[in-house]
Amino acid sequence: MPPPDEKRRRFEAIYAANHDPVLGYVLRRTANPHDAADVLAETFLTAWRRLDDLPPDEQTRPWLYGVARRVLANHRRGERRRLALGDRLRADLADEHVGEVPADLRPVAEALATLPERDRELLTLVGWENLDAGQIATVLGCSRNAVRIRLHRARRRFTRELESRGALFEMPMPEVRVANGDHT
Amino acid sequence: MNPELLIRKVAPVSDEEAATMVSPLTRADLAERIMATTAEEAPHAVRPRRARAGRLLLSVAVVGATATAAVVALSSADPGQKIGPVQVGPPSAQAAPLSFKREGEYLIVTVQNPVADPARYQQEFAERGLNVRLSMAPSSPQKAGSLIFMEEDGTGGVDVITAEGACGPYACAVGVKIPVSYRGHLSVVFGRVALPGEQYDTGPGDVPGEGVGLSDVEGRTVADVLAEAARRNITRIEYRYEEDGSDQPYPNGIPADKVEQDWYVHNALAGSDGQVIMFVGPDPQG
Repeated sequence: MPPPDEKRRRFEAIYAANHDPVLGYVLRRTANPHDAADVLAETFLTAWRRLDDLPPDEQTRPWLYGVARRVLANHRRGERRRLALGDRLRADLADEHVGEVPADLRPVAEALATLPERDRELLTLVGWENLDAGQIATVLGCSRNAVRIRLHRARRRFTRELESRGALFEMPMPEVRVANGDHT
Repeated sequence: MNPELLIRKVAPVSDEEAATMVSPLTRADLAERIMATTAEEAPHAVRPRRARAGRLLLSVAVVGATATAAVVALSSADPGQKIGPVQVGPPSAQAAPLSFKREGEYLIVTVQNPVADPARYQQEFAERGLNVRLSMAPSSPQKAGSLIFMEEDGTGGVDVITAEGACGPYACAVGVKIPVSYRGHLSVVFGRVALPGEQYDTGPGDVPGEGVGLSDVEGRTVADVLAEAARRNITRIEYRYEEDGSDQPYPNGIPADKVEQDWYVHNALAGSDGQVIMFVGPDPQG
């Protein structure tokens, strides 16, 4: 058990480095500012309580995403709790509105929304959070290999879904950087 | 081909945009408030984890209208085996938050004061060599006496005891079994009857319909359940859509005007702020 000051310093460093990415993760997955505030507060509360369990370096953020993901899933099942901790944050976020998807990209958003949650989460962890297979494995609590296989299938299903909408998109060239080279 | 590059373009918000939504004051305030929390304010949103059966029992029964009694029962592994670190002493004075009493193979621990400071419970367990954090959270009368949260950081071996009929039509957890050799830290929260005006601390483990005055909703039609809800003055209802295991095409809930009266209700939960959340779909099962 580290001394209290050290514990505070470690948490403050993690909080400073991850507050915005975790908030971004949550806001990209819920349009409800109250839920977003609660999920963010609960995620960092969990991090504070389980500071000793937090993996270091590049696995810290995926671990936090994993916590946020579970809290968010509980909210979706109606098991939401309002934390007094998040009161101020709730007020800040309530005034904000997330922008609309441009019309030409709407088929992409729709195709994504139609996929099973599992596929959508995998594709967005790459597309939105820029994670590699190892980091996604931390978020989802499964093996790196399982991530690769599932991602491959999710990509196929997404592409089919997009094509079924008659959407014609020029797929970006493969030399564009892809998160840690997990190409298909 | 990398669809993620297309998907990136439809991200509703970037991290940079998210950053601008929160003032520096709010950001600092949340960190400070989190670091100021005490262990007793632990979240209750963790599902009790099941594990192998053990030999120490912790359970709760409701006594009277508002008092809740917790029973921690210890049993030895085999007849004649020592109970381990647990001292079986005389019952504590009435003023103590817990009382310990030997009954056969069990050590019965009764909560004398369900609204006592949880630190006092913990101290009483600690005096008997147990690292158990027990607290009570406000719940509906139906949930009073049942386990609503459990978290253990030991090596496992903790199991929950369920009881038929203790929480309406469903089985719910009313106690915890812990091996006598357990040296980990265990945190358990039992429901107690909420004080007037106090909000229920709902969480996973709430049985369907619990706290909302509706029971056995599963498989009934929307029209049927809504009629019952109306009779009971339950008007704030949100809907979640379920069909064949999926929430598509309504991942964020389905508007009330899209819900058909002849659909089926799969589940109903008490949400926060007094609303009821109903899980519905065209098939009898989601």
